[in-house]
Amino acid sequence: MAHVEPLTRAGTTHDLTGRVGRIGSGSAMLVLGILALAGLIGLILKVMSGPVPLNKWGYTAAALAFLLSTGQGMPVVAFATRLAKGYWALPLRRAAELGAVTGLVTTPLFIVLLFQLPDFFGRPSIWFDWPGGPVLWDSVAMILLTFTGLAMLFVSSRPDRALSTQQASDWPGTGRQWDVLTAGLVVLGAFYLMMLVFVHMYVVSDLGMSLVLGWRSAIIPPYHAVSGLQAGLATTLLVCGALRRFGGLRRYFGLDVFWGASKLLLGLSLLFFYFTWSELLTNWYGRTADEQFLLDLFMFGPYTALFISSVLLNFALPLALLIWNPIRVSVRGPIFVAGLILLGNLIDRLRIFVASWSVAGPLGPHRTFAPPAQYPDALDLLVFVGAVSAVTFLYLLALRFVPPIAIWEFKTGLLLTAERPYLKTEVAVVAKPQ
Amino acid sequence: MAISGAQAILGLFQEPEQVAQALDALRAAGFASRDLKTLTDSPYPEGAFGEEPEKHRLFVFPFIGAACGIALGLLITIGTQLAYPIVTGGKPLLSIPPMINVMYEGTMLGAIMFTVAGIIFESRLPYLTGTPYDPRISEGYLGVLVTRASGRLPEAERALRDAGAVDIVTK
Amino acid sequence: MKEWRELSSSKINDDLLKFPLHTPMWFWYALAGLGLVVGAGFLAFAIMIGGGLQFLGYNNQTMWAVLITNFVFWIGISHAGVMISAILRLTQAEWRRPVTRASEILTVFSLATAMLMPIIHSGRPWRTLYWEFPFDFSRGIFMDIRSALVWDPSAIFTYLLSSVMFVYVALVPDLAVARDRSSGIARYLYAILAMGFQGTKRQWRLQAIAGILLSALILPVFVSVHSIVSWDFAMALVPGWHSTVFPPYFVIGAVHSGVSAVATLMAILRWIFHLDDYLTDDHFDALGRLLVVVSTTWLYFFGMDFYYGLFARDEMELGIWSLRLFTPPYNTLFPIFLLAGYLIPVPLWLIRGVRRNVKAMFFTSLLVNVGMWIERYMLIVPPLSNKQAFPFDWVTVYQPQPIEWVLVVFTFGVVSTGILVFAKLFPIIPLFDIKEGQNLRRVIQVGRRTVPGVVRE
Repeated sequence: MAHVEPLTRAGTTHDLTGRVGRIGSGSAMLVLGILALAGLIGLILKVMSGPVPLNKWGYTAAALAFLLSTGQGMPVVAFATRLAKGYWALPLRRAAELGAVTGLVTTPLFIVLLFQLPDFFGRPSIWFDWPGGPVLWDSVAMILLTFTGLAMLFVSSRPDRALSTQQASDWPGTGRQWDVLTAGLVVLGAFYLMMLVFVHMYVVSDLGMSLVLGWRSAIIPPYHAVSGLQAGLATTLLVCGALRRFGGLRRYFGLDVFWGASKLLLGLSLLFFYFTWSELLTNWYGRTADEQFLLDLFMFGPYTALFISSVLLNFALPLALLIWNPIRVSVRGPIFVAGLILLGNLIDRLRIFVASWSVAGPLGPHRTFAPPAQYPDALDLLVFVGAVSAVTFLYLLALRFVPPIAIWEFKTGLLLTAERPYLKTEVAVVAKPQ
Repeated sequence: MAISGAQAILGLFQEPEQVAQALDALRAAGFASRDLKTLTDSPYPEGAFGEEPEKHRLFVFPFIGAACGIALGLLITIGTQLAYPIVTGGKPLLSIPPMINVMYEGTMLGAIMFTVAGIIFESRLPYLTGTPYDPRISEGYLGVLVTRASGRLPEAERALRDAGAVDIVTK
Repeated sequence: MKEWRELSSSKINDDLLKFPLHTPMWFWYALAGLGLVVGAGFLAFAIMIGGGLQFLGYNNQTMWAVLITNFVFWIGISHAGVMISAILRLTQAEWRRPVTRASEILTVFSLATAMLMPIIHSGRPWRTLYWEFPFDFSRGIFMDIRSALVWDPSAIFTYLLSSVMFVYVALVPDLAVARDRSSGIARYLYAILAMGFQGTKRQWRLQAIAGILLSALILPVFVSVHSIVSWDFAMALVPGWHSTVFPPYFVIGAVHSGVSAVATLMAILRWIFHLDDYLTDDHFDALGRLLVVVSTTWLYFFGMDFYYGLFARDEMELGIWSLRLFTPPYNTLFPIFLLAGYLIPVPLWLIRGVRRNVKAMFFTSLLVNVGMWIERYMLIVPPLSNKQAFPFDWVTVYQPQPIEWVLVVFTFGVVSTGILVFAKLFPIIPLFDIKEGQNLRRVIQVGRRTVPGVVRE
């Protein structure tokens, strides 16, 4: 095996600052930009064709929920591991925080969708006919979420940007500055998590539950948030895998990163099933007309294939794979499972939102049977591909200005961990200041 | 302490470094690694005394237990419903959702019980062979136990004492 | 951990085996006092066996009340053991070491106590046998597994057996120490229980793997137990109970009250056994921080239950919330529950000085459990007391009777007696875990600052 020099503080700074602006080829960004533009045109065409029939918005709503879950779920990984002082996660935090750029795409998309909603007056909703709901308050919440995510990214990357631009005056790095930075990141992270949980509630309630008369399930918002966190972690892992493979960052994204994340991924996959089962069992036992309709609509009717695929990809396969040590304690295993979860999340969001919008309409008698499955048209596909491309484009663009790994945080990790001899073996010593 | 006729010998140490030295010396003297054991009152990191990693099959036990548990769960849930076939709440006679709940508990119980049995079995407990032991180990002393040392006890004792053993126990 | 003190093995043994191997006089007084409480509970139980449920405040509608509240409450407390032991073991949190066993023991006795409640509540306890177990072969009548009430014993037995085995496996090394330090009959008994444990490398290796493997296996059981308890309610079509969010809401509420109960227990243990070297301010600080996260998550789920109860503007659901918020006596209990369960303790726990003050942690954690008991009462009773469609179903407000209060106190007596007797027989703080923590402590020097660290394998 070739000898690899241990990472040093100086070497890390030099290496990572040198990578700023060198990740992501120009031609790839050009293609992504064109696709994003095409998606925007697709969305404009959709809007211009008017809000009705409402079922044409199901796929767009699913695209929004998918991006909210994946991209905007990523910064929570940075916050949670920072709070738990998990050193294994030091290299992935920047990749996770960069997910905040997703908000620049989801915010306008959400606002567009809110204007397509039917009249909410007298409708079961979380707004109880409160003035401004849902359009104004949902928009405000999403804007705040996006702002908080970008603020987190801005604050966290400030010392590194000063390093990359060689402008030490931007960040002298006094003790007070570091204290404020670390405390600020925790506070911003806490706000971000709270906002994200609320936005998940607004999205699934207003773009889902309120459209399906007879659906009032208190577990759906936490389900949406938890499966969103699962997808956020999966996306982070996939991005880390890509940075490791294509960004030349193999030394930084070691086994620890993927192993640590795989344990969380396994836990979140179990939670996915737990929440799904709670919903299914309660409705199955209730057997009221509304509940039978809900089971038909979301689980065992026109979207059975989506439901089964979602459970397989979000729970059964991750569980079946990650319980094995050789898969869990590896680099490729968790990345592969993350890929499954990402696909599973997309299918799950399609199941919820396409089904919900397929029965959306004015207030009236509750339905008793689900309409046939609805398939996407060309505009749906264009908007979806465009939205995902726009997010990827913005992510790569952000990588042109900030290092792919938080240099200051990574170097703190180097300070506080050490390999030490312990009798006849060598052990890692990890120090965690209060 | 008289050591004639003994099969095993235990050296007591006060410092972990001495234990590592004693094991080196014993191995150098030709004692097989499988006949050398360290006795401590708390766990030390793997390989701290230069010992070989312990092999075990504990991970097999939960799977066997889970299989037994799920089978028992299936038997109970199907058996009781068929043995006393009464429709309640309009639910089918073999209702899968409640069966899953009971089978889940059975699976977990089986897995946990077999794991505990596996832990005891793989730890070689109950340990009744009567090799030398000293209660001072519970007080922080460290022991190096040489088993199957018949005929080479003086050599083993010398190696233990040279490494700094404060006492030698035989049985 | 900031507070470090180098402790020798002998010192640890002296400190932690003092109570199991030497009996102070106060132990007998405490046992006698608790015996009176437990005796009073059994007397109440005996009276109910003789006279049935007429001594309780039940009426036509409200047939589940204080006893079922006790059941849910103690099942909740029992979640402390796994929460602390399993999760903190899996995450390798160093501060878990002195806390694990006491919380596991709390689990065992809380579960056993909780199980008594539905049995007493049934009024004819002997009948519960053939309601719950597949044994009535002679008549061919078996329990109906489609009833959520049958899932309960399967889950609770699984959890109880698993918890007992979890405690026992981790106790074996300490039993060996107790064997080495005792004499006479005690030595004989400890020797049998220790099964000849010597502390070989293989035994320690298996012990370490066992801790992780059993934690990983017991965690899903812990989640399932309170979920199944919640399904006792949610599977029924009773408005206010028939809610999809009940499983996670119950589980997180259980963790909230369970971890608070661990904090209370830790404070008591520190005071009566003078364990300042083991249960340090750092441990209370860590528990306080954990509680802030847990309690806020619980508040979120409470909010979901509340919000989505109102969501559909269903008349029955609105009636139940109106009962809880505006109708006596529930309108008095509601603010007490919210203040005690969250609004007073959590802001206090945000203050570092409070988290590191044992007395403050004792009272705030105790307050949480006052709040959480009321929360369970509010979950169970108002939905049953809500005004029904037909006037002949209208009932007077349910009033708990003295015998029910005796049974509430009885539950605390049983759990306290169990923990006290366990602590008398076995070390309540794991000796080997503390010693391992000492072995693995290292420091890292950063400039002039010495940062405490720990060895990670």
